[in-house]
Amino acid sequence: MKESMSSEEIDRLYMQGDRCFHQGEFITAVDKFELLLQIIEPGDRLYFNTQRTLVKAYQQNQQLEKAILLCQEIAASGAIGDAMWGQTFLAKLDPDYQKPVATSSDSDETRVETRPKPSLKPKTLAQFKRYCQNNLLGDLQELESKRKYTLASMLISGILCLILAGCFCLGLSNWLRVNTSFEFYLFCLVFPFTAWILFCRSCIQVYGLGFKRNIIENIVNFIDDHGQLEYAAHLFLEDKRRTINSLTRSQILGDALSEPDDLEQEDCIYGRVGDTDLFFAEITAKKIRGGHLDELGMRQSNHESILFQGLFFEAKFAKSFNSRTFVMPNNFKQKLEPLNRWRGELIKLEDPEFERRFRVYGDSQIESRYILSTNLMNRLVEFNKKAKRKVYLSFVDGYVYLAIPYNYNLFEPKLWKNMTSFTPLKEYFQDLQLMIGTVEDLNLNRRIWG
Amino acid sequence: MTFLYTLFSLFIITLFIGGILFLIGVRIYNGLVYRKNQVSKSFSSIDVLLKKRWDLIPNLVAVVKNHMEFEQKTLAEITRLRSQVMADDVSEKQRLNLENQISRTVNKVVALIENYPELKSDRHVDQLLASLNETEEQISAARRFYNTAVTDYNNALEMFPTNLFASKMRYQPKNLFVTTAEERNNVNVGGLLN
Repeated sequence: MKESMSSEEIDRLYMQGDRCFHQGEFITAVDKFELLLQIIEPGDRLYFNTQRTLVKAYQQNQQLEKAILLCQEIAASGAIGDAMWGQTFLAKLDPDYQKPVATSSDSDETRVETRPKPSLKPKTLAQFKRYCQNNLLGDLQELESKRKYTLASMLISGILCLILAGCFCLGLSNWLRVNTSFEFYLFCLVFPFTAWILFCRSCIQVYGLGFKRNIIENIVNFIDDHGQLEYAAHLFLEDKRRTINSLTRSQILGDALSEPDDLEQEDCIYGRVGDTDLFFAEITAKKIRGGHLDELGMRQSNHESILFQGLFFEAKFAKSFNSRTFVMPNNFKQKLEPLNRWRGELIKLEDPEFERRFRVYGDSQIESRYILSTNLMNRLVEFNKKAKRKVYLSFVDGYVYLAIPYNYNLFEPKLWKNMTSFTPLKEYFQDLQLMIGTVEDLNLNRRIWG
Repeated sequence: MTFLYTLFSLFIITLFIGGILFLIGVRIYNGLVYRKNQVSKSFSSIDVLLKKRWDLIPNLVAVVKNHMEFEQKTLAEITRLRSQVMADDVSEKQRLNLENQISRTVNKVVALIENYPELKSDRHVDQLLASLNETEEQISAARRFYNTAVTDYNNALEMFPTNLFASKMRYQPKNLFVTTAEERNNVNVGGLLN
């Protein structure tokens, strides 16, 4: 009989186990993952990850028999990717283990799977311009005509709204036998104006339909010419929970206990570049204060404040480490050490340009320097120059997290710019290429000895 | 009465200024002690990592010696350096020199392994090289920490007013870790392999 747990509790348990594993507390990690495996079903999205980390935890904990048994279970699993991992790891654990011989038909598949994935070459603006002319022009022209139609609808409805309000104002003043004044006209305008705003919003929504699928997804495909990345304009609720966990784990906004109350995410890109798994999305993290829950569990009359709006990136870091390191922009808030004491000690680094741009806090002076090698510092300076924005980074539990705040919604169709001109497309391309190129820019694929 | 009042005011002002000066003095004194301890802490971290590397060296020699028949001289050299550095009567300066030589010889062995495909594909050698590479990077990070701590400490020894306290406390400037001319040159892998 499986115990029942909410998806939030399952995520939290997984996160705790994962953290214990990365911090070298293998006994606790084993306990947590064993408990998790009793709770979740084999089809669960966390099942394989839990099994995989549990095998490694058993191995580190010198429980080789258990590790081999679990590995055999994974190797016999129906999912090809999981089974392959199980077989490879089993060969490492047990030298006597013979990998199953692949048949001629699937040996090619295996070869394709095991071949290291190529990293992405950055594309130039000229290449992108050519791509737009050859592939996106039709969609862009259609979008431009939709934009003009939307603007015209909004303008005509606005004029009609003003005329209607004027007629209403005159009629009402005659009926009430009062003089028409500007204030009275404004009063009469309130209702038509509200209706006009609602109409405009729906027009803009209709205008944006299909934009992400036709334009943004194609730009992602152009940058990722090896087809290693997936694009999703919106993700499901459970993925939202996962992003909340990642954002909390990154501790970029606050310590590990301050979780955002709500999160909106769109334009999610995930997959593998070279040897590095990555995920990034445009997110808005919110804190909700006050209010109460109604009988349906919906929060009523609350106050929302935005904690973070912008791009959030997560990838596995090439070096293993146990402590936390935070690379923050060198602004007044970050200079106030008492406010940042929870992030650890101030780490003074040697690169003057890096020190001018960033302020580093971390738990360990040595491990922070181990992560921030002179090479990575140079790359971060270059990345910061390229982004032309504040960049926040954290290195926690073997992962690198990156957050770039934006005060507007990215990857949306522009209403006031000609969509057949190159300017808006250039912005989308540069923002996407900046994030996808992070793996190359920060050299996250560098794994010298496997 | 006025005289007494003036005297009392002067006493209070002197006490206030004296208190502030005392607090500044305490802060400078503690700051110097903190910096000195940071230097010691960073040096001991390097020590821990160097010991970790010493432990890896016998494993490296044991794994590669059967395969690298032609490189016995290099392996003997690395074993000799390790024994020397572990001896009790080695001064700090000699030890740094020996550690630098060990770094170079280990790098040489690692480069030589490229010549032996059967070694490169060996799982134990792969794991050993990964550990060595990680330790070398950690040693480099620890040296950078040491240099930052020493620079901070030396600055305090030369700057006013901390220099006044430092001379009273008989604090001496410390040396930075510097790379030798040989280390500054790019590694000539071709030369190592020939």
